[in-house]
Amino acid sequence: MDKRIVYTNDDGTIAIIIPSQNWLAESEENTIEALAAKDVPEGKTYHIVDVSEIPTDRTFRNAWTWE
Amino acid sequence: MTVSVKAPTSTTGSIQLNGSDVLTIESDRSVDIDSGTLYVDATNNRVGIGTSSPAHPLQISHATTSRINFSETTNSLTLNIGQWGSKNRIEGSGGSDLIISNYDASNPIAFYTGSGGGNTERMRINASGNVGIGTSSPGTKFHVSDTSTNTVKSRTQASTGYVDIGMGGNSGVFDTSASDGIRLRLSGNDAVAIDASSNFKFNSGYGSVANAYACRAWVNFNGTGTVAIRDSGNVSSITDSGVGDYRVNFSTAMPDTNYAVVGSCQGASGTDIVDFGSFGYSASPSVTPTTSQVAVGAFAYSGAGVDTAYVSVAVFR
Repeated sequence: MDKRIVYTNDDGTIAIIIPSQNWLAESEENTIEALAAKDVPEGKTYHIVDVSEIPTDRTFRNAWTWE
Repeated sequence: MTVSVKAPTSTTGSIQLNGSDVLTIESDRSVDIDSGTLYVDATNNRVGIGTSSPAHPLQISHATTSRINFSETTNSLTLNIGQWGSKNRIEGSGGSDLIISNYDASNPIAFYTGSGGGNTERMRINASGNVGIGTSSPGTKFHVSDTSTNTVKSRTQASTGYVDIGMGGNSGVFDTSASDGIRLRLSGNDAVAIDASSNFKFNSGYGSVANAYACRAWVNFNGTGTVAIRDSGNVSSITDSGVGDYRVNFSTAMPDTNYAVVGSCQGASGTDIVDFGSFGYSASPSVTPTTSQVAVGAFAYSGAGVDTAYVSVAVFR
């Protein structure tokens, strides 16, 4: 399943983490949860979502918010 | 000179010279010449030289030098087998090889060490000439094996250090303590080297071996539509932080933030110039690099971020 990790930046914009398939394949310990623990800034609340939940039209990308 | 034959006891007879025994014959027909210089044990069918109680079919005994000497006079060859100088020895001399041969089509020469029941084969040369250590079936000219420890190595040592070549666990290991590192040479010239500071060097047309500086992380991703990584090395993820605004997250952190970032990006429809930036480019001017992450971006001449289909990033350190 192709996943993304979403969190909100300090300025209110949305950050989306795209995992490297190479990194995920390196070890059984390299899970999407482990990636979130590693790459999401400390203290940020994050959400793991399916890639299909991310809009593909990026016209207003900087205005995206998480609900 | 008086030679006499006597039977001094009921169980022995002797031949005497001037009254002293030269040859004694015992009741079991054993023969003793010169009091143990040569003894034939008729009961056990053994011969002793230097002993009157041979424990083997032929036993040679002497306090310090117990050996058999073979001399070939035509070529002045000498072969000594025995014990002297506090050692067990096989020594040859003269103008030819010392040959130890198993004149057989299929059987090896095997070498054993260890005492008593622990006497164990340590090395063999099979009939094909392959030398094996730790294996009874050497498959190459020189085959070293130790399947019990998963660690086996051969060592070449000089006063300046050693080189070990072998296996460590599931890895092939080349290890040296030499203070100048490792050099791979072609026709006497250094082609590749690893110096004492673990710097990797190679020539590759440079003229001489010189330090090679590595790309420590790289990634190629699509910044449009569904942002996705095409391929990468030492990159765990990228963070899409906005239009043309990304973070590259390293799998293994850099040792410091003094690395160099290079990159490129594809043009975008409707934008005259799309440039690549990092270390605080126009879209995220306040973002500074860390050991685990660097910000990169694609932006137009106006400074606005631009999504492009190809963004390539390489980090050197």
